[in-house]
Amino acid sequence: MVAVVVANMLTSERTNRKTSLGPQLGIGFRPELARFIEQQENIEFVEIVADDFKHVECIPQALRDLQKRGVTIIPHSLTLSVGGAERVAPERIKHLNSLAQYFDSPFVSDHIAFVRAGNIESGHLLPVRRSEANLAVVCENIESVKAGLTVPFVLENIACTFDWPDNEMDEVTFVKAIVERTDTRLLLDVSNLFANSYNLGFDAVDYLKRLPLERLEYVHMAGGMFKNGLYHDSHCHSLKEQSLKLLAALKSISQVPRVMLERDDSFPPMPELVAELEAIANA
Amino acid sequence: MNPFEIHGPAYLVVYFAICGTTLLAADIYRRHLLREAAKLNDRSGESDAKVIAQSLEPYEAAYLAGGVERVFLTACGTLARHKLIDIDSVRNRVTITVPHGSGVYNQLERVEQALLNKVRGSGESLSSCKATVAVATSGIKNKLAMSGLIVDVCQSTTAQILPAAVYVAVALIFAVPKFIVASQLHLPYSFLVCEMILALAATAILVKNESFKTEKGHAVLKAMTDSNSALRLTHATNPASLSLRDCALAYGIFGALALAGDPFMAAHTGLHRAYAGSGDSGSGCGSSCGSSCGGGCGGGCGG
Repeated sequence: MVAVVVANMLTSERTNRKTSLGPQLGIGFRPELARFIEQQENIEFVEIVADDFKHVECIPQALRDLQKRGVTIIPHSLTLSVGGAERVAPERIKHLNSLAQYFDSPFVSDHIAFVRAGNIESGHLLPVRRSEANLAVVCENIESVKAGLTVPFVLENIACTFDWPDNEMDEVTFVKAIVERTDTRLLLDVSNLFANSYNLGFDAVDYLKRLPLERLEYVHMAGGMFKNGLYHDSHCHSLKEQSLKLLAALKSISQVPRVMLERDDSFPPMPELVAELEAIANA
Repeated sequence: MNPFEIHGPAYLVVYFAICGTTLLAADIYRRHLLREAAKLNDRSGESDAKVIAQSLEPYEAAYLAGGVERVFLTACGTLARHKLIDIDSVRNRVTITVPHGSGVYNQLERVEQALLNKVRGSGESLSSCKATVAVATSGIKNKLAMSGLIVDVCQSTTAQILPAAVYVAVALIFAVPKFIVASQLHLPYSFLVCEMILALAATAILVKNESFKTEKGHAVLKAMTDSNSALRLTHATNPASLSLRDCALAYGIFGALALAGDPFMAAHTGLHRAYAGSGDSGSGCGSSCGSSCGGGCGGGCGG
């Protein structure tokens, strides 16, 4: 009884904290940023690329130290391929779940995309053709993933520079249908949304308004570059003003529980990263 | 029982046992001498390795990890990494690249300032710079000794030489008389001579064993290594991002982890190339470790 009361108090405190202090701030954990992350006291969660840690022995001490400090660790997968025609490999689900259990993570995430077909790895997250038939397949795959997990599964929208010519519905309808049919939570990559709205020509704010934002679990922010008339979500350039404006628009219409910065390469001087974290916290 | 009354192969076995036992005892004696020296020096009153580790400055950590040479290489690596000096390992020279009167000078540690002052002008050889840095480390050495983390040169030499001398004496006492008798009586002695040479070669175990860091010093260094795992990761993958202080701390504790193009390694190579003629080998560079971890399969960008 006492335990239940204490648990309720803690949950309530956590919820209040979120509403009163704004979103928790996070960053993608990369070895190159380990020292920087350790020195940022305002970082409350880090996301790890699950595929980088094949075994528990591969987990660096720096991550364990962050966990001891109370930083939440969220395993993020790139390779489940829930948008593929093939069933999701059980060992991939098991691996993701083992990381979630190891870090006592509140949830795990992956993308609405496919990365392989017929044993050929694309090396890139590819968009799924948006049809009713594919929607059913994606939902089936997601259900199989959920069945193998002991924590909630969260799904992310991807960035793409092309689209299938014969889509039956727009992206937001597809994403909304997936998360609602499978009762999953949403990881909204605002920079991906900006990239797609820029490259494929749609209204990003309208997209935001049509999303089931009550399912929003966390938000990704990353830098990119404009090249040959397209925006590339490179994760190795500075954050763009357009993405920050879109994040501000999101915050104005919905509560954002967590927001994080992704940086994968061409790491800038630390003050620049601090400024980017401040920018996403204050957007 | 008089061991000299044992003959033939049986004596070889007895001699082996005597040398082995003495070697073990000598090493225990070496540790005892170090412990006693540390007790004598220690005026800190602090015994918690983690607490001491937190209070150490980067160049103190560097000295603890590898003495003067580690301090020197750390200063070289840190200043070169921040483009304040340039190291030419082929010509064995260090040159300054920061303009005179630059504001950065005041942000530097004493050891780094000493190195910069030394190379001002047309530059200096690595070995000459090392000598300058050695002088600048006297304060560090005293502080570490008074914290019971290291012993001084005299204590260190005693801890190295005395047990080794006892061991060599025992190895000779139990071999030479037998050898003399055997040669006079025309008995075979080649196995005994071989065993004695092996026994004397084992003296290197005692002499080579590091004898300047105390047990407390080892514990503090381990605590520093353990508590800087994030620094180690970034030092190995993105060293250019580290501040002057973090850079010095990383080189001090871990040495060079990214081997190719690392200024710490350039200084190490140049210094030892210079020493090659004089026979000073030394050490002081860090290690890099491989791993089967990392790199997922498939998937990738766009997320």
